[in-house]
Amino acid sequence: MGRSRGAAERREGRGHSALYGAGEEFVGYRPYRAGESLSALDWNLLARLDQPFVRVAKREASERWAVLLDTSASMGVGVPGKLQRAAEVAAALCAVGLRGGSTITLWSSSDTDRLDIDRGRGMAAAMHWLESKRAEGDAGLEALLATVRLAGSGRVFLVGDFFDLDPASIARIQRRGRELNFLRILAEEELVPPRSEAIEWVDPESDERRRMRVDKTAQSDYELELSHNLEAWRSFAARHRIASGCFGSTSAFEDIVSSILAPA
Amino acid sequence: MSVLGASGVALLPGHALAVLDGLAFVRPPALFALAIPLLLLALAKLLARPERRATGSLRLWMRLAAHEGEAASALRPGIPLPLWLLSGSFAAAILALAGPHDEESSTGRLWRIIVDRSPSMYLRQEPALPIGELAFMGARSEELQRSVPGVAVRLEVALDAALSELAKSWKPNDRLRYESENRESLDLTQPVAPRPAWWGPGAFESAEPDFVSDDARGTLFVTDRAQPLEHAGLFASGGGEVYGLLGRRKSLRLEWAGGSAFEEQPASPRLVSCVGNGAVAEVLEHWCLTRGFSFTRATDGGEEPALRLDLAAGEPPLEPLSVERDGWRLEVRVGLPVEQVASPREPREIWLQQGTRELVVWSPGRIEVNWTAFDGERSASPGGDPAAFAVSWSRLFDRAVLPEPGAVSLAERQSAGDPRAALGEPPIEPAPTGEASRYEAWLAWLAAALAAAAAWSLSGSTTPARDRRA
Repeated sequence: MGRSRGAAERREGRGHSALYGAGEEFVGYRPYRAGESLSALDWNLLARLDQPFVRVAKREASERWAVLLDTSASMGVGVPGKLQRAAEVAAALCAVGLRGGSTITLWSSSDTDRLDIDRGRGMAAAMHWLESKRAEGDAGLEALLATVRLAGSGRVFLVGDFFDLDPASIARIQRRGRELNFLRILAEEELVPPRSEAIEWVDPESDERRRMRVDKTAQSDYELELSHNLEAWRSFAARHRIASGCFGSTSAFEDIVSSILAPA
Repeated sequence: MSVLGASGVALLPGHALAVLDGLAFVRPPALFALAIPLLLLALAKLLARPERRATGSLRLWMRLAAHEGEAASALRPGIPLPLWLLSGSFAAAILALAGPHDEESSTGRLWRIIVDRSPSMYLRQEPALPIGELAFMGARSEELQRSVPGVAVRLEVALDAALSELAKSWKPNDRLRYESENRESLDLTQPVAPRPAWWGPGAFESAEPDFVSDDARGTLFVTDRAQPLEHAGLFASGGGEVYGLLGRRKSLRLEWAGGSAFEEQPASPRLVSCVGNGAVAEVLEHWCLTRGFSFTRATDGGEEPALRLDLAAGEPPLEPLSVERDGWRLEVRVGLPVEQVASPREPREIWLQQGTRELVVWSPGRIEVNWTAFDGERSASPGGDPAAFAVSWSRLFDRAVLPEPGAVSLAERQSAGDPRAALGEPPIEPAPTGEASRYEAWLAWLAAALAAAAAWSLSGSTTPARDRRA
């Protein structure tokens, strides 16, 4: 199971997910770190001081963010539930975005409900909205992407388990200048299924059932299947310069958020 | 092993088989309770439902299952460990209750055969013999063998039936004990008949067994008439009426001819002999006149006397002694004990005793009086009530005189009904002692350990309630 575990809780892709560095407003300089793009290097400063510095800029204060939250029934799986962790991540994103002066729109998949927040109507409303969400219904991110209107959103965060999502659907929301972020959250038993002579897996969305014997071989086979799935998303995100990460629902939301927002 | 079947044995490893092969159980029916843990396990397996878990990755599982092509509906979870342990504990406890022990150490079951040796048991088995034919097998076992060789009497028929049936239920370590009135019990290790000397008629007439008080499992009655028994086995020969001699009235023999018909035939008086003098001899002479016996003082002769009275003081020195019984008293002289009159094989009864001295001893057909009268007037007559003296001794003569050869009472000659054969309930397997019962202790400890392990694993397997925040 090391492969699945390793695939999870790791930031994938090469998106421009940092809050600082890609905007227009100049903030200052910081020392150059090995491996950083040379395009960010301030060549004038290098010539004068003979030391490499990078220009640090801040995104536009008027930038609009969108957080698309999967609230389908499958997000109730796990201890704690995937939706629990996803809601915490969404709340953290709201806090960060509001602090940066962004306007944020929250979307939930099951009821296609939305909430717009800004500095005036801020965290309290977001928390109240998030707390009201329940994992129910069969509408996940796939359904949400079909209906959502993201006009003007510079950064879009997709938070869910991505099991129902087809990578082709991402094309609907891809725009020039829009930065996408995938935060994939899986339950513990979805990462490492427990061994059992007979276990009945139930899809809470379709109520489909499958009885399995989960022995070492089945565990290994499942790990392989999951790895393929994760790898498919990782390569997709890499190809489209999308910041992505897969995390267990037991991971701390701070780690998840800082991982996705940390400078690349 | 005496209980487990071959199908169970085939599943056992060699060394276990060797142990089980030498095992026997005190309470084999308890082994039926082994079905309880087996049933428990079967039910647990049958009713077990797989653990149900929600997942968002069902599609991945579906793909895997499609590759494996497993019969998903047939999948059932295994029996939980606590249930295995609990069932093992049950099984060990049941085995302990069954009382396992080494077959060699078993003392075996004890079967009792109580033989009815009343006069009717020596009548021939054939129904309704004609008058005059010898039906009674004689007063002594030797006579029995001599008089009618090869003729089966009721006792033999019933005993053969009992032994034949007993042989079917006989186990290697079983024991057999014959019991009968006026006979010492006889222990055997095989279901065979005792010697005829044991089961033949004795000097003393025997009564029928006490069927009620001896009605217990493992007991077999060998008799002629069927009896209502609850636990004991019964082997009754049955048999019709047997006509013949009932007895004698002075010079007449009374014979039964069937129904209410009797015949009287003249007969010469039987002989009673007396050795010695004194008041007792005088009473005997008067008793002979009354009863129709011929009194004689001759000690030897061709005819066997119906009763012989020996009066002898024993070896000198003689001591004077006053003896008394039933209200009479007599002054006599007593010497040292003389050789016993009665045969050692025959039981004797002490009729009069003073201290350790046996003064009057009798057996059927013989009375031994170990004293002699005083010379002169002191011994002329007994003290106390003279009538009591005569009555007292007459009763003894009546008891001691031999019955008319071949005479059987009318009640004994009546029909014994139909034959009956029932083994009854077998005796209880005796509990093994000491070393033999070590298996019980081991199994009891094993049952306790398994139960504790089941409780421990049960407490360890409980999982906390899951928080599924939605």
